[in-house]
Amino acid sequence: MDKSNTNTHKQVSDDLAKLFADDFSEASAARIGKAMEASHAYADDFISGAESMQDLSALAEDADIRRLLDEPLQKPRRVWGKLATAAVLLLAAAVTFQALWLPQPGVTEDVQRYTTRIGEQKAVKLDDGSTITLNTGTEVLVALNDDVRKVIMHRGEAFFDVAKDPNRPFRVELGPQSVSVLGTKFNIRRHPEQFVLSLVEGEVALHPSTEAVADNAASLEATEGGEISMAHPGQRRITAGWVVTYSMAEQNLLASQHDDLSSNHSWTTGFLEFHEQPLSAVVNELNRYSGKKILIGDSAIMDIQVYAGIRVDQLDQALRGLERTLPIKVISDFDSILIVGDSEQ
Amino acid sequence: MVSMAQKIDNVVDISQRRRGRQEQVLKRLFDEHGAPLRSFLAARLGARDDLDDLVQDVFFRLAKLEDLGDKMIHNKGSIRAYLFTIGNNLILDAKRKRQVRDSYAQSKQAFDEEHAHQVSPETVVSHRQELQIVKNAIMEMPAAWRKVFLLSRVELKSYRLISEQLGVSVKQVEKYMSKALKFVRDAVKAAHSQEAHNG
Repeated sequence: MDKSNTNTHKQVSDDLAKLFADDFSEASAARIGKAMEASHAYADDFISGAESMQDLSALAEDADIRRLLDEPLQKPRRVWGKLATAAVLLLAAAVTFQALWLPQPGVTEDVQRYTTRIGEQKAVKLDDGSTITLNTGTEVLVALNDDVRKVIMHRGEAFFDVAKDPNRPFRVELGPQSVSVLGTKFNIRRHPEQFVLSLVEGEVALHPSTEAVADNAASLEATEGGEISMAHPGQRRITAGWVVTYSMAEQNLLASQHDDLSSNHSWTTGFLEFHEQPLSAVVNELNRYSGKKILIGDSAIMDIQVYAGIRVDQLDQALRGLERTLPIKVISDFDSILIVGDSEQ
Repeated sequence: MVSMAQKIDNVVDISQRRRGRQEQVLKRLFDEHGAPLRSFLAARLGARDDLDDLVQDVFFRLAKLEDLGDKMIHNKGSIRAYLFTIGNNLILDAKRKRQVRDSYAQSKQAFDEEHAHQVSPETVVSHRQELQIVKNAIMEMPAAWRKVFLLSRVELKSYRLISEQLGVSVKQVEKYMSKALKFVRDAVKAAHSQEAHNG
């Protein structure tokens, strides 16, 4: 590498660090634009850097990277309780083991970690008879103790079919908030700052992770519009038919009541159905299951109506199928799949 | 106890919020990134009267990205990187279309010039391999840079959040990011030239 190349390389790194920063000025943008216009080498370097570094969240699936992320550097990460701390410490020591034994005076906790890669789905039968079905890109830790059945859900989406056991509540911890049940069916989709809970059957309690379930927690009451919004909801009982979105950042609850929630977990069959949905919405959903990013490169085709049944483990075939039935062309690139309009049809 | 009037207010508020959410997300993105994007495009293209259309086009494409809301909350930098790359691709697309309209000889020359520095066989490494290279670089990186890099690029946290979590200044976070980015990009370049050499 000659001197000017080395300088360009250093400059691009500095500029990318600026680009990803919280404060980024018009002046910085203009300077980068000018530099790109002036030098092809800089332009290529900068854009390929921006493109490849803009989102590496796929690496969160990787066990080694996960371990490095969970490893405390100066201040330990926020701790969600004894189990989480123990799991993190043990993960740091021995990631390769699927089952982790936690020796503690008088207590033995068997913690199982279950994950799915992007595009993978998996049903896990637990020893208590419950079944957890994991959707794409999901990670949960499970500990079945004598007094409580505990699941820590880090990310993704899962459908829970919980076996009845009145003496052992089944508890799903989602950071600061938990969902506790006795026996029921429900779906949880976790986002970094919020989660969506759909209750198909039975009843659950929503409560702060630091508190036990109170006997007198209030139920959600149906309103005329069928929707409820609440700041700081405290403890709430939630019955079948409710879909609850809880924002952890705002500690705000948004709930709506539905007659039929079956479509919320139809993904558990590995089959996605689209009835008269715009192509853009279909692509958004498929992207959750696709290792390569699927992009629409043509605004004219975004609103094409799509009817399709798609198996999530056969996305390539499904896209070929769409190409035959819709006026689109599917172009596979090394790191992405581009959908454009097909003018010849 | 929440009063009935308060509850009703909440319900009205929330149904309005639902309807307006998508528009709000876009509006906030535009407020935040519209001006930098415009000046980036202006610097690339010079003064033109279709700059606003181009900006709008970029946002239109951005609006169709998955998990836009989440990304926006966590990391403005990722959204900005998308905007800049989309903008740059639009410029290249437009150039290509113009070249098709132009005569063959002219277009071929311009096309060759433009592509000479772009996708050559040695730069095409599969996405999976690329991620593996990035991962290896991350594993070898000094711990402090690595932590910052992972929090920013894998967990998509803002520099401010990272600075709070690690107890260092925002400026320091940016410095570590620059070093980490250089480290990873060095590794990617080295792997590519190795590839070219071998094959």
